[in-house]
Amino acid sequence: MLTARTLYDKLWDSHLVTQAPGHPAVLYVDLQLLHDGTFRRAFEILAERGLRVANPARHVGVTDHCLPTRGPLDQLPPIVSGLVAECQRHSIRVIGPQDDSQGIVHIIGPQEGLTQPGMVIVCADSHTTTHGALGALGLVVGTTQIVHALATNSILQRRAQNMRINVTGRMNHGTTAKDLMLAIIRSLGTAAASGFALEYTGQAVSAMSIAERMTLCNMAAELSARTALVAPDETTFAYLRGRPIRAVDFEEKCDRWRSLVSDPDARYERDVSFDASKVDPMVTWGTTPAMGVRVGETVPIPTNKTESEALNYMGLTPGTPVSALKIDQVFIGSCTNSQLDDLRGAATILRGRKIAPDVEMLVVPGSQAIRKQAEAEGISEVFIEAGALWGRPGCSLCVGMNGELAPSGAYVASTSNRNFPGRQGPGARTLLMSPLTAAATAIRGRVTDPRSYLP
Amino acid sequence: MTAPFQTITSRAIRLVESDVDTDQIIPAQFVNAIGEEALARAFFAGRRSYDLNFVLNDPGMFGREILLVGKNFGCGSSREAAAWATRAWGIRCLIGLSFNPTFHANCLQNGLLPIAVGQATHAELEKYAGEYVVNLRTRSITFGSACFQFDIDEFAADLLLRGIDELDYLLERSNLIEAFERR
Repeated sequence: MLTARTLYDKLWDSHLVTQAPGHPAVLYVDLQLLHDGTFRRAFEILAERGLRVANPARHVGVTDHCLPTRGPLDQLPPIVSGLVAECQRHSIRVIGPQDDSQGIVHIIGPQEGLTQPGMVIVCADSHTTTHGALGALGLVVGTTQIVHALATNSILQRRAQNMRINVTGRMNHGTTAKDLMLAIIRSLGTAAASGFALEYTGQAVSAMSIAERMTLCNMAAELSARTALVAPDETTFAYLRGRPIRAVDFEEKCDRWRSLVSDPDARYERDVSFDASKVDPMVTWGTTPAMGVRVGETVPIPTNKTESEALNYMGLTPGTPVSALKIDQVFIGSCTNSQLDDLRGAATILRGRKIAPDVEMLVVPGSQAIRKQAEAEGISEVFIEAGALWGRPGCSLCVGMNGELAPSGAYVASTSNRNFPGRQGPGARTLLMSPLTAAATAIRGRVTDPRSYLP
Repeated sequence: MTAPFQTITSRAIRLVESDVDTDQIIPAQFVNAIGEEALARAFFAGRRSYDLNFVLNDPGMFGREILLVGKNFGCGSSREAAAWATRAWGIRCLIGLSFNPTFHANCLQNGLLPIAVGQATHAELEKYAGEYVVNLRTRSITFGSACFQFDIDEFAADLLLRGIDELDYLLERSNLIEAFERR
């Protein structure tokens, strides 16, 4: 009898080129996504070694990290034009700043039908785990591995162990995939999935849209997971049917993709269960995504040096109700939460309302397509009417590589994924939350439970 | 891409301190140094300039290929140039109580052998002023009448002994990869 395999095992086996005893495996790469944050040294090494891109069709370049998201786009940063030029030189498709398909790399992979179930996708970005929402193996690589993929269409990998998070129950009203992840990370810690391939299963996950599953897989990086997966199902296939996928045999493909599920008795080295119905809107108070509480709680009393240092950096006093925390800026965007549904949700709360007078708010859609659709639906108008800035797609204030940073000491209510010291600017203080909570927070200028504004 | 790793017979440079970070190994202003000479000049450039008694300023240390270090060597910034500068100085092997994981990986990618040893072994090595013999094939350090075994990842050892890096390793398997593509 064949051994029962997990979805990760199946994806691994189907891409295993060769493996010598004691050596890492040579794993075949179906798609590499290049972006303007990390590519440069890779192309230099390629040239120094006298190598060429083995198969240009297996790579796509995307401009997102360093693009300005506010103001005019008349002068491109050299790093952005550099990526465009390198891709063109090597006959690699590049989705540049002026392209209708442009957006954040992990948003447009799925959106453009580049990300498909069963693929191995690599990208030199820690949130490559996002692509697992469609049942693709998204692997994070370093600069030298970009060269490996360019020159040989493969990378060296050691097999991860299997971990499952089974999410039972139903999500509460006003509570999102982001809140679920902040609750899971709070409960398990930021190293919980270190060395593991993480699969999300369960009723709550099955009920989620692709965008929500992308949030789950995206934030798996904050559990230190090597990769994250949700098995493809009818929701996945319905999503993919609307994508520009060149496939006459789409239905046949769906049939193949249906086999991409873990066998019923597959073994997980780590197996965790989580009850979605116990999750409420969450917000972080510290400097790791695990330092989070419900919006109804207070800033905790520190239990160790790390927590004291975090509170010190954040300038917060233990015992303060979270709902009393003042905010200077609100950022809705990033590969975690810049989808159309995220914007629709936030707009529901902001419609007919104004943001607090001393708050600055920036909304950055994840892609040009999302931007256009939001404008067509009048969502962008809602944000602008409320007093927010409507930005151009890119990574923007999540990582600040485009130079748009929050000032030192500023409190930023952010829908992004990381609240590390200095992430959004030296001295800037990040409070992670969902787009719904961020919108409600913008209105009061203090952390606010979105359910008070929801119908 | 680099020369195959040969058995080293050398006395050691002693830099037994904890948490020597990559900013000391190669100060930030030198990380873009190009060429062996410039990288060698950048190796501990700061400490060599302000501390005349610093061990690397001792002419007696020139030509030594082993660097004996302390705990958590190579911490801080992940800059790969720290390994390049170490190698450019002429170091082939580092022996210490522990290494920063990123620095450790960068060493292996650049033909340098980092060896982590226990307290007792480390203390004996520190006391012994003569030559050590580091043999990667037998995973051993011999000095005087003593001999210690060390551990190293099999794959990393294979690459060092053959003088290739991971890219070479993959390129050697191009035929298999192409055959896989045609399946």
